[in-house]
Amino acid sequence: MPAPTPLPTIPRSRRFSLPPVMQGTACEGCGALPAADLLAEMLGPKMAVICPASCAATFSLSYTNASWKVPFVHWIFESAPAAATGLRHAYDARGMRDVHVVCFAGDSGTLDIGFQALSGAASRNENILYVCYDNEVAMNTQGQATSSSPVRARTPTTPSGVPTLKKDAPRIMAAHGIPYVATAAVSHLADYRAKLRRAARVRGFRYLHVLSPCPIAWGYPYEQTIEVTRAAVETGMWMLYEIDHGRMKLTYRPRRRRPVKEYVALQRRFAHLSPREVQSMQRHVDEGWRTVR
Amino acid sequence: MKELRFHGRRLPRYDHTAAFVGAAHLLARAALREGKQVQLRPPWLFLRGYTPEATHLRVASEPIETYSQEYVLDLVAVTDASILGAVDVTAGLKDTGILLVNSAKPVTLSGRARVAVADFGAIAKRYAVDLALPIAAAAAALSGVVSQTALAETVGPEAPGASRRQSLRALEAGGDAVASSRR
Amino acid sequence: MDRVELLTGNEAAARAVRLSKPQVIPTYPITPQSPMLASIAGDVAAGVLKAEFLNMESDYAAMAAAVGASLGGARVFTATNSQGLLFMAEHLYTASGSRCPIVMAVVNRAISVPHSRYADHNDALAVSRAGWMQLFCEDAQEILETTIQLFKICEDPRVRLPAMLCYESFIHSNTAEGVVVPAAAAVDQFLGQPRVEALLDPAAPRALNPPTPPEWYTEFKFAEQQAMETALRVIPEVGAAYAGAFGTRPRGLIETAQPGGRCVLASMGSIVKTARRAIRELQAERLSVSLLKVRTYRPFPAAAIREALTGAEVIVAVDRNSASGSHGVLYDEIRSALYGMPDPPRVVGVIAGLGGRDVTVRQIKEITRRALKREPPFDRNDEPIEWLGLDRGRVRDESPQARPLARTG
Repeated sequence: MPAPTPLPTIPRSRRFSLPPVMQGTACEGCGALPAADLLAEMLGPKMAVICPASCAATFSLSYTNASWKVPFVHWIFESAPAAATGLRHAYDARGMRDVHVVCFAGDSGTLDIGFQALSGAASRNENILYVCYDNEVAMNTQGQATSSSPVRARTPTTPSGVPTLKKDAPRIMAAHGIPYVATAAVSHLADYRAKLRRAARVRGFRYLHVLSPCPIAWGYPYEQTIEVTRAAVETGMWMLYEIDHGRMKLTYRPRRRRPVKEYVALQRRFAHLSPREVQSMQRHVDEGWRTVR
Repeated sequence: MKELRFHGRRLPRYDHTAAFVGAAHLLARAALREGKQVQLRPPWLFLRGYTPEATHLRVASEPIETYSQEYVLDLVAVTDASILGAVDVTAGLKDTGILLVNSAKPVTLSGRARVAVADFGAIAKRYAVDLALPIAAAAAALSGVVSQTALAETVGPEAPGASRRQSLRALEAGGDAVASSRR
Repeated sequence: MDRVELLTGNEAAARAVRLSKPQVIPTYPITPQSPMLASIAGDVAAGVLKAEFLNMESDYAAMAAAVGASLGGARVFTATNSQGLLFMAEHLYTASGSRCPIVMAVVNRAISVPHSRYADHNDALAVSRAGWMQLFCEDAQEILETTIQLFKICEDPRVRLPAMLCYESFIHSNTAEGVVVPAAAAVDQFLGQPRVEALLDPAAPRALNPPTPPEWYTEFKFAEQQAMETALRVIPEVGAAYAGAFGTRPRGLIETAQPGGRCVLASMGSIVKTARRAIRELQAERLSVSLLKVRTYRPFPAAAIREALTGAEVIVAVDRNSASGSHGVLYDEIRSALYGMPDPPRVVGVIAGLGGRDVTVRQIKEITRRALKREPPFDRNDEPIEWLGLDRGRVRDESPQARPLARTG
């Protein structure tokens, strides 16, 4: 059985690469890889990355090798933004104001165990870029539900489906009054690139939330990561927008939103849904888009 | 006490149902059926990607009084022949130990007297069963770690109806495939 | 009817949880405890276990919820290790001080930095002063039996303290063995209804945890101490009752094997199992070696250990833990237990298995022979301690770090 070829959509970055020796640490079709790759490309080389326990931490370094060619620390799960605060102020005190301090974290470390630190740093409007890559589960421990898991998704700790709605992280972060919030998706890399470029130029707490599917957790063949992500965007399940100094702007609007059932049908984590439940999801998405112009 | 190791790759299924785990699991359950003691160690790390991994199995009639990961192996099974180039599968294998390889093509390994090769993939396909079944049967036949009867009695109840017949035939075929390699 | 099933340590604990019927299970995942949570969640979803399974937002939230639930009168179970256990440290004292009979599985794992997912005992031992009982299991069978027993021990009105059921990351948690599983009805009969006092109950309102003046604080701590000392009796009592009810061998504070040896190997956890084989092989070489398994670490069974070690010449305390600036806990606490004995045995120390390093039969035999022959460092009177298998070429006097590869992808 031949070894599979890497996803062709992962751009070659000078500042992040998954060398062959580390290919036991990221799964084929990992949606977080492009998120990390572009982040390094757009913000490096003058950046330091604080990455709490997550799949990203696991593919970022082994005992001997690192994927990032910029300073990187594998941090404690709950306190990345607090550590980033300290590092930011150290750099400022030492006159290194042009070095970006970046947190790169999964949804679990951002919205559950790390939420206190995230809100704290945002409340202080720390001059930090925070990128949450969202695979909608705690995948480093093999896929338990998080507050970012979509309603009705099956996970090992919610075998009957997640009972609650996905936490609206970008809007919560915007409510902190921070200068820049944006959503992104690994299927729309030009859009993500533009947002990273914009974020790099803003001072204060900047929050990016990147939809980064996981083939294992979501239950689809690993070659389909980009297709599944695109379906999330094209069905309207995932909106691409930015909130720049309080002003919200859609950066991509599907010409005609595809039915949600097409997105659901691609993923085994939704295989148990009844048609009524899918309709309910459709209604919820429609509601969300009604209020957006 | 007998010690066995099973090499394989987790892809395409990212879980513990790959044959290099399944075969060992089956042998362990069959051994319990015979009133033996077992210690089954599937791969510990959730290694992503296509990395070769291994499952270890100890089977004994008396209590297994060690958790050490130093093994002196009676049998090493390789469920994916492409691993032969990537990993030293004979590390820890006794001089009298057997190397069992799933391969459609002949396999040569210099310095190894006892190598049993068979196309278990074809057997599994023929009977529409998991690759783990014929490999487990072959490993049992070569190492003597459990009887074919115990294997059949373990597999049988789990596979109802027609698939049960197929499963038992697959076991038989797996054992027969290495009949010439048995001492 | 008892059945022998192929279960990992995690599955054995999850099965014991199913049988013990806790009512509230607050959880937060951490490697390698997460498959146990998935197993329990599956039982709850399938209706096989009626319990409130809570997906909390962090480990300390899980312990806060555990105490909240216990104060509400529920039987509670949770699980964690390493980073999660330390994140819960504050709330561990809340649990013990509030006298909550919570049972928690701790899948012993090394603590970052350096980062490791593998086994050593430093996590549980870091919080050994938090007022929780701590029992260390040797194998999957013991994990199952001890979990069930702990509910009975913790809820005993003479005890009312929380307990940690300790077993090792990957070595126990992910390794499968044949486990005899008792029948549900028999466990129901053994455990009975939960005996958890609802301290927050409108029927009898109380205001918990008032600011406690110096004139009162000490006596609360004394009461906890007394409860721990009572546990020294209750643990073997419950072990014997379990043996009587299920026909198993009785488990207590310690175990010994091949007693009466000149040299005694003392340890906890999986190393005990490997030491059993080492001792058999040494005995075949006509060396006089015994085994001391410390099952109950808190409360520390000093009297039982003194009795077991009387007459020995040298004790080799094999510690799967370390604390820079200090010693392994068994080395220190066994020495303390022996203090004041006329003609006490010498105690030497071995630090082994940190960060999941394998401890082999051959290594144990070698250090035992050297201890018996008083070879260095075991000939010293001060600090006769060896770091097993230390590779001096790998010692790095710095924060652990990886280097980016020079060439790109």
